[in-house]
Amino acid sequence: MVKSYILKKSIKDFLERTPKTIKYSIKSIPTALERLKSRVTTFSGGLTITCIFILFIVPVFTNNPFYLGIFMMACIYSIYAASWDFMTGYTGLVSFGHAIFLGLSGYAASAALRFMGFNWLSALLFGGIISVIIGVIVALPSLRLKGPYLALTLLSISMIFWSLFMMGQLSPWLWGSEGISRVKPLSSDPIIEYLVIFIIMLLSLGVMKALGNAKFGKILNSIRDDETGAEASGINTSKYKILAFMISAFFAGIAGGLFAMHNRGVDPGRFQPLYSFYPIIMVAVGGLASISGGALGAFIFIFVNEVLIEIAPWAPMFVFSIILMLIIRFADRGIMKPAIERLKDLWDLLIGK
Amino acid sequence: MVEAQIMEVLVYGTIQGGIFALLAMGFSLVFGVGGILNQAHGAFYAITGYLVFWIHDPGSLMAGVDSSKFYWAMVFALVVVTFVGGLVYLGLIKPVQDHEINVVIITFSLAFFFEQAVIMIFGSIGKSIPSVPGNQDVLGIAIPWQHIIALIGSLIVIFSVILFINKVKIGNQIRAVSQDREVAQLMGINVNRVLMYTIMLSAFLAAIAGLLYIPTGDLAPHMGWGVLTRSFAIVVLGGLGSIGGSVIGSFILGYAGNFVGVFIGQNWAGLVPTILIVVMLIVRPRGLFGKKEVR
Repeated sequence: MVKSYILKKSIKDFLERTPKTIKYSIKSIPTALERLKSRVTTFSGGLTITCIFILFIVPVFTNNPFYLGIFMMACIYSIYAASWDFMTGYTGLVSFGHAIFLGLSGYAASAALRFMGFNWLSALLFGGIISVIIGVIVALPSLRLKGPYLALTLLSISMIFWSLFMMGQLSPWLWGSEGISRVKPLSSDPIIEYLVIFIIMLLSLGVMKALGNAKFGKILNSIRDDETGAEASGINTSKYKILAFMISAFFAGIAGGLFAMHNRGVDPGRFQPLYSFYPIIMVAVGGLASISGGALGAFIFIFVNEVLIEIAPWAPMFVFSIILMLIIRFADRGIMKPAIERLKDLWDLLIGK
Repeated sequence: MVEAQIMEVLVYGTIQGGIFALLAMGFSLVFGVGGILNQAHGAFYAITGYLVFWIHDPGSLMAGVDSSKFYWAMVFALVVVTFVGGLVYLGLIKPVQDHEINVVIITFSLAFFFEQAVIMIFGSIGKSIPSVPGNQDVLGIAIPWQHIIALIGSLIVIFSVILFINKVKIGNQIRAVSQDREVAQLMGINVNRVLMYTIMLSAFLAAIAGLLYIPTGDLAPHMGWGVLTRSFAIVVLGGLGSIGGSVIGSFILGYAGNFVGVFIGQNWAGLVPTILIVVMLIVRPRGLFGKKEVR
């Protein structure tokens, strides 16, 4: 926490000095680099950089669309899980209906690509914006709800969308139970597609992490920990809750748009509770209230899922529901954080600290 | 024509209201006593149907039994689901019950566990379990006997539960804990055991609702979610933790759903519960008869 603060401060210093004089800024580059270097040489920073580097060079090893597809799905789910974590872990608004955003933005992006002739980037942003609008609409009635009630209300709203999009009578407007198919892919080359998704993932996670570590994130944490206290100290909790909803909805929307482009289409099944369940288990694996935990959890989830599909095609969700129950029952800090701490102890031992 | 439609709304609304009341009473009791919103409530309903299907299914252990044994299968399903409720409390909910969010997530994943187990064993295609054959003319509409039995059965169970809560010792303890947990504990009531009994009672009620109502329609793995949404809608409508409120709310939802189903379209009936939730939360968050606000 302290180290990320130092990094942030260095970046902030750097940005503040730049407009003043180039001289100062040139002087400050080495210190910023120094700080960045000291950050990278810490254990968690080094691990992050290594992971990012490994993910970046994945296309060197394989250009098989199937394997790259797995990595793409993992990247997309990282954004999705992190957006869930931003809402639940940081702000304490438990959502069992994140599939609302995933599905709606998927529909918006697919419709934009297929029927309105958008290019992929604008379709993605369009999906995100639609998702934000829905986020605000959903947030307004649920502002006075807390914890389980909010969770159940969002679950019910996702069920409403599921049945609305399934409905035959509305199919001229909402495309019925078939959904939208034959959506233009992001790029015909899987390597380019993977890299674009990867960069979008890095940007999204970075923005969410930065927001979570900034004063904004601290305010959200205070709402999570003690809403009355936060209100008493002059924080407009409604405003910040809506903002948290909007940010979470936006990134879930980005994930939904990418998901639709990657799958070449959407169907009403995207709204089912299953897709609201995915981010919960990813974040539970990775640890609540840390964006990187959710992202890591998503990768583990996808890889384990693929392995399970290979060895026992009927089992994945069954196994995952058991895993989630066990995690909540026995290790509610998640399993990645303690594991990484153990790894760090081992590392310290190895380099003789 | 319109009269017949109105009669249909009234008759089927009453029948569905009775079933909803069974489901919502259990849900509301568990909430009132333990502050637990049991996400697996709908799953209890669904697995009852699948237990009966499993026993009755040709090729399973009681294949080709005569109908008198079929009723034993129902009793078996009822007992199993009730004890599953108790086990779920002891094994999963009790250890984490201090953190309400963990309770919600653990029961949510339990609901998935049941859904996936059912898909794994029986496949995701809808099944059906046998119903009582024949129709009966009531007020000019031919109503299947199964529906009539469902109505009578649910009314009997509703009244016996209300009697149970008010007259029997355990029922009094349940009420005491729901009114004031700490004082009840000071009076020597084992709160955790009462909570276990409450969850068993709620699982029992969900199982009875399943036995009475699943024979009238399909049996599908995902049906638990709809039941959960409806139970939650009724509890929000009637007021959290209020038994009378949830019974009245169930009938309101039954009539409203059937009204929409008959006059607007069957597909739209599924939307009624959720719209009701949202409207109630905006207009009157503590429900029609609730003392506590939904927060």
